[in-house]
Amino acid sequence: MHCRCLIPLLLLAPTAVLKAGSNTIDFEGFPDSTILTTQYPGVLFSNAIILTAGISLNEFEFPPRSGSNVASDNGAPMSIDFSTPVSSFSGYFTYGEVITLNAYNAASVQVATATSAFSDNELLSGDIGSIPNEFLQVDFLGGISEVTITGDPAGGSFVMDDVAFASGVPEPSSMFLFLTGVIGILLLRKTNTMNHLRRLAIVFIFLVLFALGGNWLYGHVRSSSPSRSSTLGSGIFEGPRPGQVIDSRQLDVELSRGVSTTTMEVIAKAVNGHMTCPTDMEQHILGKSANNCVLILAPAESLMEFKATIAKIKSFDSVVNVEMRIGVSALH
Amino acid sequence: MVQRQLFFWMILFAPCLTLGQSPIVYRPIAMPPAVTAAVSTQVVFSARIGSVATVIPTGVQLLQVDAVGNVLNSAASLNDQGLAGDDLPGDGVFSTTITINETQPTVLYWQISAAFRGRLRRSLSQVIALEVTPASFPNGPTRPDSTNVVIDPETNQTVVCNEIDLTFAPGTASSAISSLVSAAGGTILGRYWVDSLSWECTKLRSLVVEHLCLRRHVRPSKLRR
Repeated sequence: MHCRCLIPLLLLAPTAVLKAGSNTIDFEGFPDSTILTTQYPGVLFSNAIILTAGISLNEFEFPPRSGSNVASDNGAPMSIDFSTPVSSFSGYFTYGEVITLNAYNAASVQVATATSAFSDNELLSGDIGSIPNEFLQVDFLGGISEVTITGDPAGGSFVMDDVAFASGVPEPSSMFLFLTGVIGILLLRKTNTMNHLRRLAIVFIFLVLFALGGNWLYGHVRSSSPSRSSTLGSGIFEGPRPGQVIDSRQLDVELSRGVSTTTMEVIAKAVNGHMTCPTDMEQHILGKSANNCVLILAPAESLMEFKATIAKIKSFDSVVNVEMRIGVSALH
Repeated sequence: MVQRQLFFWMILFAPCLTLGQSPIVYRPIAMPPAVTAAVSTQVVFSARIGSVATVIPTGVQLLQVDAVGNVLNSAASLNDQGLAGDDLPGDGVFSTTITINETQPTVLYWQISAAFRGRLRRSLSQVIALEVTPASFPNGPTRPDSTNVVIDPETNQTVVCNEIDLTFAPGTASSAISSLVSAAGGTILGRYWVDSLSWECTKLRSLVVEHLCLRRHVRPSKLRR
């Protein structure tokens, strides 16, 4: 009798942990050529642009999977940052060359990768056997903080639609509930004789618990590492490599030649910053072909906020390049 | 020697291989380039496509855009099959005909978008304007008035003495033309277009015409024959 109650519980338990939440983005509702950045809460897109079928998008080769809008890589490989780490990321991709999805955790360590099945899956010109909108997915229960999608380094090589990401990283509270539930079941069963099926079920629970708990613990420990930004000072964040730090208080901004002072002020004002550029004479002495300026900013609250600021600066036509200042941590 | 000859022929034929292959959409033409408010008018839109070999024949669209180029809607598909205003099938010029019936004077903006094989993005043409003029502004051509003629002393040809053709730059607003003609004491008789230039046929007051006819520097070609 008790065994009958236990089986559904066993089946539902892992689901309760894994399906903590999921989101889908179909890119509809934006006009053609919208630069994607922070329009979706909790997600920061870089080098991404909305294309609409029949306007900028060639829907004959790159048909949207749903609706009329897709997102495409714009000028460089696309990256997607999540403010809260996710356990999986997926989407439907149509591409003109091989594309690779790389997933990184909060410490910028690559944790998963996926590569397209063909080199070209366009509807009319694609490889034999390919079809548009190939499903690609990367998973990591420990938490994915960033996904990069690389096709042509110059961009304009793929479109994606119906992107989904699941925030299935177990939270301490759900982990606690799960453990409590398991212990409760075990205590209930303690008075009865344990038959073979019950033993199997309990072993299964522990296996699931071990797998999920391990992943959660790994992600939790990495994301709460004492060397994170909180210990590095205001506006200073941990860099992509051990010991590196990113200073969010200044950026190197390369502007196209002949940009007016007014334009510089507009760019600086857009991010509440102050821009200093070399004079013509200084530029001549430096021998540089473009305006290399320094943008002074208020310290960012988070690395994501800082990246959003960079994306905003990059959206200006007169901005040729933006470089973060990466240094070495004194704490390392 | 053989290599040098081969190189020579390669150089000679290189432009032939690349010419006309660029996936671009040349500046579209609307005919007529202006219509009258509250009059239903059929307008033919045409554009030459740069790479006929790779264009997707059903992928050429006429887009209505606003003054800054934001797309408002996809108005029609263009074809190169000799249909719907397309003169010659297969000549690389795509056309379509749409009916415009705007109630008020305004300016409508248009752009053509073309899809090419193997290309992610469509190619977009320049934006062109189509003016919807007030009902009082004539947009059709008129015949020269043969009752008022004089002999041009320079060419000994018979010219209409109370009418003159004026050429305006493409895109000149009807309001600007009206102001200019009024300032010269003339009346607009009609309007016609040659190639991409806008020609205005105006009827001037006799005093002005007499003055112009007596002046030798007035080119006879500007006078109506």
